[in-house]
Order: sequence, then C-alpha cells, then structure tokens
Amino acid sequence: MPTPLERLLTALSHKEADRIPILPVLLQHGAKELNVDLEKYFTNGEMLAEGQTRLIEKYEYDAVIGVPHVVEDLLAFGQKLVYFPNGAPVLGGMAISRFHEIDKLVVKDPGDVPELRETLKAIELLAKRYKGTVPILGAGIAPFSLPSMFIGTEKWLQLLFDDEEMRKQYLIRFLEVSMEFCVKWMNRQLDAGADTVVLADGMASATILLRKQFQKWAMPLIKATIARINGPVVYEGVGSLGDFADLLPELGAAAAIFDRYDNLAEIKPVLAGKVTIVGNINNIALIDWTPEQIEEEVKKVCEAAKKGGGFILANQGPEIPYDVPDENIRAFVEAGKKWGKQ
Amino acid sequence: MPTISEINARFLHYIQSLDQQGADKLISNCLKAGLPPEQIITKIIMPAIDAIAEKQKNREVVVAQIYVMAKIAENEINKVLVEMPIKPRTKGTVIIGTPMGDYHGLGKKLVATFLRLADYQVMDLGLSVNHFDFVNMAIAFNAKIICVSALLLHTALGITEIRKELDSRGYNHIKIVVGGALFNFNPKLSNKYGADAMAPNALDAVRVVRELAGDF
Ligand code: B12
Repeated sequence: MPTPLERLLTALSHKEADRIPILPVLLQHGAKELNVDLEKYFTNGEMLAEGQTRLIEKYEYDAVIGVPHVVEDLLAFGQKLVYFPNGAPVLGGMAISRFHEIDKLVVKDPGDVPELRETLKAIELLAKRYKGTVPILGAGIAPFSLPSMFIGTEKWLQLLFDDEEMRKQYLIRFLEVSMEFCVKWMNRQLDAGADTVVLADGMASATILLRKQFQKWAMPLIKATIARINGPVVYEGVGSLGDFADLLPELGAAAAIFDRYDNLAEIKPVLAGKVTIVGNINNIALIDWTPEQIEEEVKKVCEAAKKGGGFILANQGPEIPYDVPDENIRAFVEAGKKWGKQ
Repeated sequence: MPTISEINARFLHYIQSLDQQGADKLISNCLKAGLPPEQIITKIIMPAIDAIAEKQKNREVVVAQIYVMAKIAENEINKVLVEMPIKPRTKGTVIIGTPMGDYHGLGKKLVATFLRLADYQVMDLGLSVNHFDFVNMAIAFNAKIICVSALLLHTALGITEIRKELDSRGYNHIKIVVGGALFNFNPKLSNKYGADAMAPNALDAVRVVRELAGDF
C-alpha cells in the first residue's frame, strides 16, 4: 500500500494510485482530542502537533497540517486576536484605518511573534514524526487578501476599485508589504519541514473579482509570490475559482482548492495534467448532514474528478468547523476511501 | 428628448460598465430637462438596481461589480434627492450590523445600501456589535427589523443572544433577518440561531424585509 505522501505525489503528477488522497482540513478538532480549550491549543506547538497526530491516527487520512488558522498571520502586523471556545480567533481590530498609514506599518519577522514560533515548532515536530511518509502542510494568507485584514475589506475594495488617486499612490505599497511578509512566512514554514503551503486568497476569488480584475491585479502578484516560494504551493480561492479555471495553470501552483459552487466535472478537463483539483465538499453543511448525505456528496465529487489522478478530496474553505461531529468526519473519510478507489 | 426606456437602458449600461461619469451626465441632463426627481428615482435608477441584483442572483455579476454599481446608484440618488422639495416618506427603520467578533463588512454594506435605496431608514451599527446594542437601538428607534450579517459560524451565536434579549424584554415582535456566507452554504442555520428569515443576496434581503415588516 502506498504511503499518504506517495498517494499525494501520485495525485499531483496526475496519475492514479490505489485511491485518491483524502484531506479533511481539521484545524480545531485536535483540541477536542486533547481535551483542551482552543486558545491553549492554537498557541502551543506541541499540542498542535499532538492533535494532528491523534486525528490522523484516528481517521487515517492523508496529510497533517501544522498551522492552527491563518488569522495568526496578522499578529506580525501588530494586530491582536480574540479567541473563541468553538472557532478560529478573530481580529480585535484593524492595524490601520487610513491608506497613508501603510508607510508607518511595522511588520514583524515571523520569528519574533510567539504564536508564529509555535506554529513553526508544530511543523518541526510533525516533520520529525512524518517527514517522507505523510505530507505536512503549512498555510498563510496570500498577498492580495492580506490588506483586507489589516485595513478592512471595505477599505481594501475602495482602494482597488473606487479611489483612483489613492490607488496610484498606495496600491503598490500595500501589495509590496503583503508580498514580502507572505513570501518570508511561507519559506519559514517550508524550512521548518512543511512539504507544501496553502495560500488562502479569498479576496481574489471569483466570488469577489471579475475575470479581468483577477488577470490585472491578482494574477501577476500570485505568480510573482509563488515564484519566490521555495516549495510547491496549493492555491486556495476560499471562495469560488471555477470561472478562472483556465487561468490557473499560469499561476505556478501545483494544486487549487475549489468551492462548492464550482462544477468539478467541467473544471477537470481544463486542468487535467496541469493543476491538481482539491475540493469541494460544503464544509458548513457538514455540521448537520447525515452520514448518508455525506457519502452521497463525496461520491458525486469523486465521480466528477477522480479519473486519471489530479484530484484530492477535501472540504471547501479553510477548515472543517469545530461543531462538525466526529461521526461526520468519519463518514467523510470513509466515503472517500470507498468512492475514491482508482 | 429620448424616451424613459431609452434613458433607462443607457443608465443601466453606464452602471454595468462602471462608468460614474456617464451616469452623472445622464442624470444631470434628466434633471435639467425637467424630469420630475421622483420619476428619475423610481423609473430610471431603481429598475437599474433591480436588474443588477437580478444578475447577482444568477451569479452573473461578482461582488466587485455590485460594490461599484451600488455606489454609483447611491451617488445618483443622493444627487436627485437634493432636488426634491420634501424628503420622501421613508418606510421605517431597520437596524443592521455584524455580530460581536465578526469583521467581515462587505455583505452588510451592500445590504444596507440596497435597503436604503429601497427607501428604508437604515441604522448601520457597524462591525462587531454587542447583542445589547442591537436590541437597545432597535427599541430606541422603533425598528421592526434587525438585520445581522454573519460570515463566521462561532460568532453567529450573537444572533441567538439577540433573540433571547428581545424575548426576555418583551419585544418578540421585532424580527431578525440574517444573511452571509454561512446561511448561503447552510440555510438551516438561520432557524437554528433563532432568526426569523434569511436571504441569500442583497436584493432578496429587501424582499424579505418587506415581507416581514411591510412598508411600515
Ligand atoms: C474573503 C474571505 C476571506 C479573506 C478576507 C476576510 C476578511 N475579514 O475580510 C481571508 C482570506 C483573509 C479570510 C480569512 C478567514 N476566513 Co474567510 N472568507 C472569505 C470569503 C471567500 C468571502 C467573504 C466576502 O467578503 N464575501 C463578499 C460578501 C459581499 O458576500 P456575503 O458576505 O456573502 O454577502 C452577500 C450575501 O451573503 C447577503 N448578505 C450578507 N449579509 C447579509 C445580511 C442580511 C440581513 C441579509 C438578509 C443578507 C446578507 O448579501 C450580500 C450581498 O450579496 C468567504 C467565503 C464566501 N464564499 O463567502 C470566506 C469565509 C467567510 N471565511 C471563513 C473562514 C473560516 C476564515 C478564517 C477563519 C480561516 C481560518 N481558518 O483561518 C479566516 C478568518 C477571518 C476573520 N477572522 O475575519 C469561512 C467562515 C465559516 C466558518 N467556519 O465560520 C468562510 C465562509 C469560508 C468557508 N467556506 O469556510 N477569509
């Protein structure tokens, strides 16, 4: 039987293994396994690694993830996090409120942020355990989306679409700051032992942008960013990417994560042999679907995308919510094993 | 002078091509030509908004377009309003905000804009709003509807808190309308969190508010 890493590499080289790789994005359930609260879990590298270990041993899927959530990236921009008992933390506020403040924004080195150091520690520990047998994933927010988190989504859109004067003056600055941080942070994770990193780019998805806007603003930036990252990248739309599918091979990403509005059967021929498709089970519906419904959904996407390799079964979006019960995670993985046979 | 339906088509075209200047000129010309402001709003601007929102429903336009279009429409309406002798009768007050901890503001902004364009008085409480503030403001401003835009699951529990607070203070006639990615991906959640209704986009938000509250 191939190892999870072999399975993943086979999928990425657009060939068939014994079955497709299965990747439920479980960032929070490890805390349940360890019986600790999420804040403690998220900020402790040993716990993160231990949580990932217990989860993969319990369900037997195909990758571990060293990152607790991507909101932590903003700690490097001086932002504070507010933790919750049952979900990812949120920002305590924005880092800047006016465009010109970008010039004053001090961006810390990831190594100088305690929480980010713990993430690196988690990746190192996972690498010690799993390097060469189970793929280890890192993640971060892509440069086009980062500004929405340090100045707010509305202001960011205002800068992109509304305010030409300001755009001329500041857009490049925003993107530069974001790209420098992103490249550095992703490379640190790779150095720590990650095999691949996921770039979350919600603001660039087809949920938000027109195709021509994606081509004009987001694409050059993504390409340049990926070119500077020293390992394979999984590009995550967070939202929909279907309308941009034919553009994705240009990005240089090994794989892309789609959302549930994206029609994988249509996308498959466009990306076959070029970019591996990841997705796209409705993560929010996993909360109250029955195991039978989950099997039905998994079967559908497997049938749409598994043929010839180049497909990884995963949920849409950046995580499986905390409230998704264990039996539904089990149903997801088992259905993947059954319907993902190749 | 072109006919209303010609002007209509042209205005829609300007909005769709995100041409603020074109829209500006057209509406100014209408005002100069003596078209009644009331008519400019109801016969030219509103139908364009409806047309766009209809396209959003079918996923033919993306957020970036709607954002700019709504902005153009809002600018034009404001310009026309200045020309009107008395402020038009508004349909009543709606409170809107995101729950405590949720800083996704885009959906809220769009819904607030569309409600305003539909003549509702909208009190936008902003981002990360405490459930007490939602309820206090609704009572103080005699609102019949509280709109909550929620993109994160765990902070959406704030909706349940609003419901509890309304009930315990005897204001259960105030309705809660919700929206955001969560509810689009799993409409059942709206019930679970104690909302009275959900809508998948800004146009339907107006429809649902109208259905629940009438033109109060
Ligand atoms: C862009 C985005 C990001 C960006 C920027 C986020 C930001 N703060 O600005 C980035 C990549 C940084 C990001 C990060 C994260 N994200 Co995010 N993100 C998105 C995305 C793709 C789009 C959100 C958006 O702005 N949409 C545009 C607006 C206009 O659409 P809308 O809000 O849906 O509004 C429309 C309708 O819903 C409706 N509507 C909206 N409000 C209302 C209100 C009423 C009353 C009514 C009637 C209607 C209505 O009308 C609007 C107009 O049509 C969504 C997925 C999606 N498809 O929506 C995920 C999503 C919101 N993110 C999610 C998550 C999990 C996260 C993270 C926690 C990831 C992580 N694990 O680290 C972080 C944390 C973010 C935070 N704490 O703030 C989840 C939330 C679900 C959950 N588990 O709780 C989503 C749903 C993705 C998913 N499928 O899982 N994200």
